[in-house]
Amino acid sequence: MNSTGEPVADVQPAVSDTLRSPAGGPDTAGRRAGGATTSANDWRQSVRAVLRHRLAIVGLTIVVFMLLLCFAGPLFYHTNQANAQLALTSNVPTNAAPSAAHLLGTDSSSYDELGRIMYAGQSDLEVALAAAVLATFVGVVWGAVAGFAGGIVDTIMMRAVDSVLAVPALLLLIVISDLFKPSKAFLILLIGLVAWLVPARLVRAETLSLRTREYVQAVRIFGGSRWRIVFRHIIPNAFGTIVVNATFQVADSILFLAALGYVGLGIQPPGTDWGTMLSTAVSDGAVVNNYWWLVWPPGLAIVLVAVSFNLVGDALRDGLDVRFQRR
Amino acid sequence: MIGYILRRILQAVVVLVVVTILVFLLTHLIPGGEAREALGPRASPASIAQFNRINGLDLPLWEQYWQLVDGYVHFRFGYSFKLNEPVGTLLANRMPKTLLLVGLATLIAIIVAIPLGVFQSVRRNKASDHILSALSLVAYSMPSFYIGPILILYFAIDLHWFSYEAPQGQTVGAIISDPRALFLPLITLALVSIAAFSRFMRSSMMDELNEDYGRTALAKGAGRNRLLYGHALRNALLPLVTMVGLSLPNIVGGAFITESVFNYPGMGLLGVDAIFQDDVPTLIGTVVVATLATVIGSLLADVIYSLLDPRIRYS
Repeated sequence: MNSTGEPVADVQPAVSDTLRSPAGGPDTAGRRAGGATTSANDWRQSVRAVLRHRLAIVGLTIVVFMLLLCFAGPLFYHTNQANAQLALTSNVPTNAAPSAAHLLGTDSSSYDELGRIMYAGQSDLEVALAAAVLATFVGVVWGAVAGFAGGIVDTIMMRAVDSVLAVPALLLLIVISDLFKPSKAFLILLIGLVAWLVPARLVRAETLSLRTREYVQAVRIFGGSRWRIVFRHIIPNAFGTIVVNATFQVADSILFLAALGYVGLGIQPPGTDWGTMLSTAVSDGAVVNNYWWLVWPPGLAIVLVAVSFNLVGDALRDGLDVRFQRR
Repeated sequence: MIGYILRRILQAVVVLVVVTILVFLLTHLIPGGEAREALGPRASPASIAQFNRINGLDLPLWEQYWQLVDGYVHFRFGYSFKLNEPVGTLLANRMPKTLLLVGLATLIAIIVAIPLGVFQSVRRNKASDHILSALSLVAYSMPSFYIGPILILYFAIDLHWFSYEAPQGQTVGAIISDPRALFLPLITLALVSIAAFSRFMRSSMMDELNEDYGRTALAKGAGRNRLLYGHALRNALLPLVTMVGLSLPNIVGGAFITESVFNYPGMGLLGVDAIFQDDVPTLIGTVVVATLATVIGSLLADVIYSLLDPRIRYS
């Protein structure tokens, strides 16, 4: 497993990788060792499995619905999300209950709540998707290089990952965003850079099993360079694991951003995000005054997106894992 | 095994050094510098120079870093200009309460999650398993600042079962003696871990039940209960120790948010208040102490694991 031959390294990654994948870790290696299936076949099979999986359909539907709501919704449901003083300039009531004019009422700044949910959701989804892509990219490259290089390089690279994993990511995010008042792009970078550790471990485990495979040996014999082996052969074959984890990363990023928003460090005005909306509602007395339309919708939006991405990821993983299907 | 533990301690020390270097760099990257942070944007160059001299900010960088580490070792974490108190004093008062909250929540999560996971693995792919899986998925995706107000709304304000606010006692003893107030924050914090741990237990049990030794035990006449609790559970519990250690960073992070939702007088509330009051020294001190505690907690979990697992003991 690792040149120092520590048994510890065998036990530990397996456990942390199982955090998210009941059949992950060593089993992932075993699954691939068994069949000569190509990744394309794997992939098609897993797509079929996802479609069979009813919960996954629910998850996918919610994802599509939320994307449409946030990005296409404003085209049909016109609201003013630019002017903060609507109560003074256009007589829009503050904290108004839902009505025909404002389907989800208005908030303490007279913004239309439904329009605000869509507007905030754009930032939320953009940040979460981009951060997940970034985290996956960094993690995949890191894990593949470490796993393929082996030896002391592997030990150092993976010990670094273990080390950073021991630091509470949320607190790291909070301190950095407090000091540097992040823009949207900076938030993506931040969340992406604390979230790449788990994919790095997963891909490294996968690489360790792939690099001893005959076809990789064959590429090496034919004179394929190390980079070619890593990027043309190992990473594509770890694709399933990578995609499953990326799905979970989106859910995690949404929750990270929501938590940052809750402590006032999310998307800054004039923008907003769901966590910030919920935080503002609570601090402006929405719970005490029972303005339910300001409490339930933003929270529900967060939970819906997080749950649906987790559902899709779960189903994808079950689909990719043959051993798990047979149960 | 001693070799392993020593290596693991060395790794923890490296993490601590990296964290302190990171914090050091961050404080030096504050826009305007520490002096402006403390004295405000309109401070004169002369008073900034004086502030830097008094606080050793005109020394060479490595000497400043050494001062920082020396301070941490002696539980000096800078000075809160907003609260007009040393951060170390603030933390000494708050830390035991957060340790209590995190410790109890972790304990509750373990106690609830083990039977849940076992139950699900026994009833796998039945309706009850699916329902519990779905519930844990939702709990896993539920931010604590959302579930918190909901619980307050129903169990405290509507039903009056529990207090709407965390215990406000000054000591750990005072907090424990008010379980009605402690219950909701504990459950809010434990919920995510219950979900994560029970999912883990379920899959870990299923893996164990699939092993050959289970069939052997059954063939030799062991009953179902003996297989479940005598063999599978014992093996499945082992990796849970590591899982708990790995989850500590998340639980500590969650404690920050949960404390601020319930006004629980711990480190998290101190840190979140510091964000809103622009009190950078307090925030950094809080995060550093929380991180150090987490790293030490993870280290302990790994050491316990190595003591429990014979595969490590005899290597």
